[in-house]
Amino acid sequence: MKFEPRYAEENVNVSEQNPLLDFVRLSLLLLGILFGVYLVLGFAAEKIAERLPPNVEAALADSFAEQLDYKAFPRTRTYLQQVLNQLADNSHLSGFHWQVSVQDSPEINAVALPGGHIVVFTGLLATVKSENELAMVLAHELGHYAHRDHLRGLGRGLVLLSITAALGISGDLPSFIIPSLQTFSLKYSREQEAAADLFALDVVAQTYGHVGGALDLFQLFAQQEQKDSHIPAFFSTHPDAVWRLQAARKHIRQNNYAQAAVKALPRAGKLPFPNDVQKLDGDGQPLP
Amino acid sequence: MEDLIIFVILFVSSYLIGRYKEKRHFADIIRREKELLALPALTMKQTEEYPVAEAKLVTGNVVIAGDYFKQIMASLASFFGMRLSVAESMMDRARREAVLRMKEQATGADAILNVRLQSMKIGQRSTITGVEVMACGTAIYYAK
Repeated sequence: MKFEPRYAEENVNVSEQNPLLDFVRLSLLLLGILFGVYLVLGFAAEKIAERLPPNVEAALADSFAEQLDYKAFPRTRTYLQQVLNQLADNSHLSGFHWQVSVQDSPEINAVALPGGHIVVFTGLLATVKSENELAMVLAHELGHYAHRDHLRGLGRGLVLLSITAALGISGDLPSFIIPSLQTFSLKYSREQEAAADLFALDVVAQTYGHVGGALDLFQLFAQQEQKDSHIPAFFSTHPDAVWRLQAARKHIRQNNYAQAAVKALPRAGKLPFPNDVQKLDGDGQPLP
Repeated sequence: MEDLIIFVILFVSSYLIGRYKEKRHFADIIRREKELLALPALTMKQTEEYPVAEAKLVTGNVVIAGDYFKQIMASLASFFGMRLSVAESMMDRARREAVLRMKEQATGADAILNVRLQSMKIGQRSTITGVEVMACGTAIYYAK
């Protein structure tokens, strides 16, 4: 018999699939699974973190409290602490002795850390024009404690971190997967920020008898957000300033909070106070 | 945001270019396979009927790169453990191209016996920079 070569036209070794469709299908599936895990675990972690007793929280805070510089900007810090104490006394909050520290950083932000440690960045202080604005910022952070947001954020953050770490081990996944999870968590935090705003308004009204000037800073941010296409760092964790401002205004109307003249900042009238450095003795030790 | 834009640009361009290149390569492979159809490449070790006048080693070697799109698909598919069609086509191209090159080296031969294929991944850990396939066999010339 003679050898007769024949050619097989069909390729059996390659699957007939559109890889682009495959990609869309798999990405959606993976995102769906991750969102599911994040929702369930995040919810559980949040519930656990919310119920942490104050002593556990204080122990948690001890691990980072050393890194907070309570000696920087001593006069500014003392003034902030006075304002904060007034607010705390009027807020019926209990559990901690709230402590504020000033951090030298251009970021326009303030953070509420576990254990009652509030950190305010000098970038934010520089934009504050009256004591009422400052009180609003500090009361906003107190609001986070009142709603236990600082712990809830911790619980969710931990879950997000675990998911990211697990994905990192399993291979190089597309770079858009993790940012989309983070966007989701930002949207979630918007609700918390708005709730803290309303709490802050109540406390400021209780303390000063009116809410005059309280929203000035937020108004500034909202205006900036509208005209700036380049979004400053403040909004990455405090999104939708306009939306928050509207919610705050509605709250003021509903509660008939009075408007009155603002209380000026003491001394030079600007924060942080000029020449606000720690006085050191000859050995480099701080003077009492 | 910049990351996302860069990702989309890389992803789309790599998909389009990769698809185009692959299509052209397959067309080229099919054309050459048909040309070299008369030269059989076999896995058997010896012929039974004809006396062999000459035998020599022939090899064909090829490296095919895995593009950005294929890498992304590979990492996604590895998460679920499924058929990886983008890698299948890459391997298929490499195998057939290697056999073709081997055949092209065996000028005037009557058959290539004892053909072996070897493949290797090029790339660190889970990344596929490319695949290498080597085909080797014994080209034989019958005594006329």
